[in-house]
Amino acid sequence: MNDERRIQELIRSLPGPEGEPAIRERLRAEFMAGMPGAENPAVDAAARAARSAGSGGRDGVPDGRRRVIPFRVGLVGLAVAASLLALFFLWPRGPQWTVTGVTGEGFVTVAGATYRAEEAMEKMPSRLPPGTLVSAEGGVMVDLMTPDFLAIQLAPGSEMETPGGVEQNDPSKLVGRVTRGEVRFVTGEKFRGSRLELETAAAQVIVTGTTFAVITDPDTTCVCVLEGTVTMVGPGGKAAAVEGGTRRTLYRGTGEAHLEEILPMERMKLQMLRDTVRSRAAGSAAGGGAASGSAGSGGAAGTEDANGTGAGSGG
Amino acid sequence: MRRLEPEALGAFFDRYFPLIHGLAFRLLGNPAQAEDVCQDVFLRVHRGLYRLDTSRDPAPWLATIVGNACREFWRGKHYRAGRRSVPISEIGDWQDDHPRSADTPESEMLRAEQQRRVRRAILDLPDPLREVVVLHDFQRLTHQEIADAVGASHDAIRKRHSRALARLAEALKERGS
Repeated sequence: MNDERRIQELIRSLPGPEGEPAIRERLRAEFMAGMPGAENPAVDAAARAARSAGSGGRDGVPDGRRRVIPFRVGLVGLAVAASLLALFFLWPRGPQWTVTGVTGEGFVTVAGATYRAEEAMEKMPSRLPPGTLVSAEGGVMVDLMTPDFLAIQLAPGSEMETPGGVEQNDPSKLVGRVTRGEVRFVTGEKFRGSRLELETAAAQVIVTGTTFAVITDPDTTCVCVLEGTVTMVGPGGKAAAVEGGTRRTLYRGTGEAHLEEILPMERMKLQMLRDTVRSRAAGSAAGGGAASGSAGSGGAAGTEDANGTGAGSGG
Repeated sequence: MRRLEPEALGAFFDRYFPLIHGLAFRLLGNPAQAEDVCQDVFLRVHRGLYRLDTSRDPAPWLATIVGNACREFWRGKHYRAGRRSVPISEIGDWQDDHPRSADTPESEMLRAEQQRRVRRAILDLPDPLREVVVLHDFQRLTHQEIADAVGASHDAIRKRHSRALARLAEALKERGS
């Protein structure tokens, strides 16, 4: 058997990926209902053309939709409810995190102990103290929350330290770390007046109330915001606001940043998480809080001749 | 289907999601990016359904749309920059290696490692070469169909395919597959 034939057989023997079931179901429902992105063809076409052409200048935002993003440092605003939050933060080292779900196939590692996904809910600790290192391996997704305060979702391949309070003189401030992958966050009613700071390799992310995701690897950090505003602080302390409906990617080596619209799949995943948190809060007798923020704005997928034939890159 | 009745759309989705998702993942190598492209593809499919010739297999048409969507993705700035930092561990983490109960743990581990090397080698190919390999060897499109899809000549696609397979053979020899 010659080399080419051998390689082709190797390639064809690779099994296919299955995709995240929840995403597949949601996409199926959208397809049957007519796909939300079909509603704004002019906007979609502009976004698609700009993305294809790589236009929009340094930030990558299409000219017709360029936003002026004011640079400001995130401020901690203590609301009236801070007194209740102060009580909350008298817990040693900050809030406890409840594991509310482990889905998919793979492994969950919590504080150095590894559990298979199918037995994780049964065997791993149901409550995690702040500062616990949690990772989701293979196709596993892990959901954590402190009721009415903050919900966290670790996507497959991600790892983070659960947030905790570290400063006695500022009990409303939580600090956590996202070491790799994609982690999504939804703040709740009781988060109001708090501040969450997330450390990554390339940036610091400061949150005062929103639904967003942090995607990170050793060289880049991307913050995708569905609703609300997140502050991203890069090397040298330079801060930028990331508003609802946008994503900002910071490159550790160069310090370069790119701003663009939130990607459709990111929007969908954050909406799913937010909806789940809200319905859980609405249905829970003990919880009762709803995630903050209103629906995010921003464009959906681009339009194009969907026949799909024709020119791509040439010979 | 062309009247966009939900049941027919659902059946179409169920039948072709594995093809679309599998192709996108093999071209991009990243589950999140593949999901994003899938959503884009299904949007385009939905818009093009009224022109669908239901007497013909839509698979080549769908493969073309996926290829176009991935090519647009590759042209994106954040993709080009991020490509430098894709860790090799991402490839091994994707849980598509279903253990077969008759295999020993050792042989299963060896197979998984070989699959990981092959996936890594495919992802290391330049985008145009990877595209031809994936469309031809996974999707079973002919060289002519691929040429029509990407706007290149049949001869150019055939040469790209050969170059791709040669590079894969070399890469896998170096990695011990």
